[in-house]
Amino acid sequence: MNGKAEPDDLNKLERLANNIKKSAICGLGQTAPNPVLSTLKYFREEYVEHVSYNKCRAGYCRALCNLVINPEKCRGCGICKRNCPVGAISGEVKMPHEINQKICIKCGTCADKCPFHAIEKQTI
Amino acid sequence: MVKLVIDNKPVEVEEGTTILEAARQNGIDIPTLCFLKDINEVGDCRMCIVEVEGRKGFATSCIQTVEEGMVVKTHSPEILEARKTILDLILSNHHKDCLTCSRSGNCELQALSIKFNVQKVEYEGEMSKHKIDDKSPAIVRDFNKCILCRRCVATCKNVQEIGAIDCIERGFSSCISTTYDHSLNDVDCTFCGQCIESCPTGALREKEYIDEVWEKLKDESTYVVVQTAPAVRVALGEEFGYPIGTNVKGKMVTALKNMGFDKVFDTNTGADFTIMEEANEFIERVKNKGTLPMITSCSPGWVRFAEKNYPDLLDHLSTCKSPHQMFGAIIKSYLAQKEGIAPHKICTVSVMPCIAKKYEASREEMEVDGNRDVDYVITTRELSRMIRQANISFRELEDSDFDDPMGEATGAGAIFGTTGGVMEAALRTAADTLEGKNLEKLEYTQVRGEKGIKRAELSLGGMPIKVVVASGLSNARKIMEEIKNGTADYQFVEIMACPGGCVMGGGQPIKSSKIRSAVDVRKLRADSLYSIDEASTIRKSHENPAIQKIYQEFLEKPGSHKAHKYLHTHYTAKEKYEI
Ligand code: SF4
Ligand code: SF4
Ligand code: SF4
Ligand code: SF4
Ligand code: SF4
Ligand code: FES
Repeated sequence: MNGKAEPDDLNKLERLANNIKKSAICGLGQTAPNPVLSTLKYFREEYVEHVSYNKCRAGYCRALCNLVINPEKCRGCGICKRNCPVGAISGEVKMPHEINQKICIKCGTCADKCPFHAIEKQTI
Repeated sequence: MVKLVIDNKPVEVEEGTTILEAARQNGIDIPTLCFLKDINEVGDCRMCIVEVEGRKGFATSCIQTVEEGMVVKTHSPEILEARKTILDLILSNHHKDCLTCSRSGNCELQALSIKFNVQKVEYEGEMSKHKIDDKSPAIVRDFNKCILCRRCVATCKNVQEIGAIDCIERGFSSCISTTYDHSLNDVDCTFCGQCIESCPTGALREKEYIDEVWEKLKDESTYVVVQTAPAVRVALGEEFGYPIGTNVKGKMVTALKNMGFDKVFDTNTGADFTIMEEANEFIERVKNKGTLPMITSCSPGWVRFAEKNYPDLLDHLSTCKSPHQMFGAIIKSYLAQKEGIAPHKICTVSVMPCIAKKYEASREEMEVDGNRDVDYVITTRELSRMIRQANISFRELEDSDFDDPMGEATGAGAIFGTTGGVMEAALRTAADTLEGKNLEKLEYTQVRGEKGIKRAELSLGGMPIKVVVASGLSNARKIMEEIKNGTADYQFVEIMACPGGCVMGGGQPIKSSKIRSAVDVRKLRADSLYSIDEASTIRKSHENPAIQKIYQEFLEKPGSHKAHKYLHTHYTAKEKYEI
């Protein structure tokens, strides 16, 4: 999710899934929406959290999480700082670095580059 | 008979009828998109879904046949919502450029959007992006507007039996394409344009030369001559609300004159030249034991097909150019001389029902002494667009006649626009020539009608001959196979690339799937040509005084050296795939 959904979009999603289920020509099409329909049924509150409170419990939706540097793991190598496309990361050599959440665009480049896996997703 | 209930109405239809047909027969309409009667009945767009009582999921009405006791609902709220969702999903990946789209106003997708009251784009997201293929001189493909209905694929594969296009890739990347994704220009496509006629959207269109023609019309120093093919006058009116097949010749000529063309000529006169030359060539071949059967060569889609598929049999093709090319050559020689205009100052424009003629005009053989026979070919559709651009109220126009000295054409020229017409016109002249007298016999009804292949045995000047007329390339292939394996015993063969002939050419006004299901467009247009023939005072090409005069003053006689220079051509074997 990119964090732009409105509460009404859940109904829209459900309608869409149901319509596809009923009108598709073959079994594949008729069953394709099932994962969406069953998660909507059994985990609806998580969907609601996403669209109403911009929250992703599982920490999966990048747009709904912050990327933060775990100071315990960070060794201050500066790789993330050099690779961040928007210059959101600051810090002295060999000291834990920090991500400025106002500048960060959540591209995840730093997390991919960090050799010590110090950059973690944190639900908002 | 099967009894069922549609929208609470008890109806009775023949066994094997689809739900869609059953509904339409009983005045109930169901929207469709991918359905094209007898051609594309695959059920892939889902627009025609209906509810059948007691059944899980919706039924596909365009392919599902009726069953005894069925209870069908065609517009319950659920169905309407599902159809709207389907349309929304199609639109979500469609480049909605109606304002700049050639099909705006005659687009089945646009019509559905209006019908379903689409006021906003429901699903926005990633859109597929395709490159536009405009390499060929005849056809442009813009798959950003393609909805993957496969009507074009079915037409090319099942009707024409060419199979130049098919669906490639899966899911979001699905796309209609050619062998190795090459331009249509470089594969086995014949430029018949039948796929354009089948397409519900603006994904397929002719290559337009409208701006170029306006430029020439603006240029005072250019003498712009236009000619219109026989099939144009019985279809152009459809673009201005006239019933299918209405002959609007008089208004068409007035419109062209108002648009500023210096001369407006009738390609039917060109057809009269073709008959003179072709009948003569045929008689020569019979007398001198030349290659027989002789096959007509006035359909460039067919010629391209032959060059690509039967390179060893090209001797069978008549060396005659097609009527508009002949006429173009005459305009830039005889008329130029007569009017005292340098040929390079003349621009010849042909209005044709055909897109293959755009390609034909661009072939390198089609020039004499460095002057192109025909500079631009525009389709019936393009002419209608130009008339609208010029702000001409077509329906209000007075009638006028084609210009002299070549304005008068025969009924034989008129029927060139339909399958069997070229044969009939040629037989009229050949019979008179062989008998050495003016025969009463005019109509050769054996070669008329809708059948794809029509055979006839006749006697010309006491000589029994067998002829065959084929329209549509699948039928052309059948005849060519007979010739190839030696079972053909015909002397004269007429072939047109488009099923039904030029009245159904790839440049004609496009009819929606619904109209094509309900009326026989070919018959209406062809009948109109036959009535033009019937109403003509002169119905044999060799009796046309204008033609006689030009032979006297310029060409000498059919088959003369001069006639060959201006009116004949040659063919070359072509690779099927130029890649
Ligand atoms: S790359 Fe990792 S270890 Fe190095 S500064 Fe960034 S967060 Fe710290
Ligand atoms: S194809 Fe039809 S709907 Fe699409 S842009 Fe053209 S006119 Fe509009
Ligand atoms: S123009 Fe004719 S041959 Fe070419 S793709 Fe279309 S239908 Fe096939
Ligand atoms: S090009 Fe036209 S006819 Fe062919 S699949 Fe696309 S929309 Fe249908
Ligand atoms: S049949 Fe007529 S419209 Fe069709 S390709 Fe031949 S000349 Fe063109
Ligand atoms: S599925 Fe019936 S019209 Fe497309």
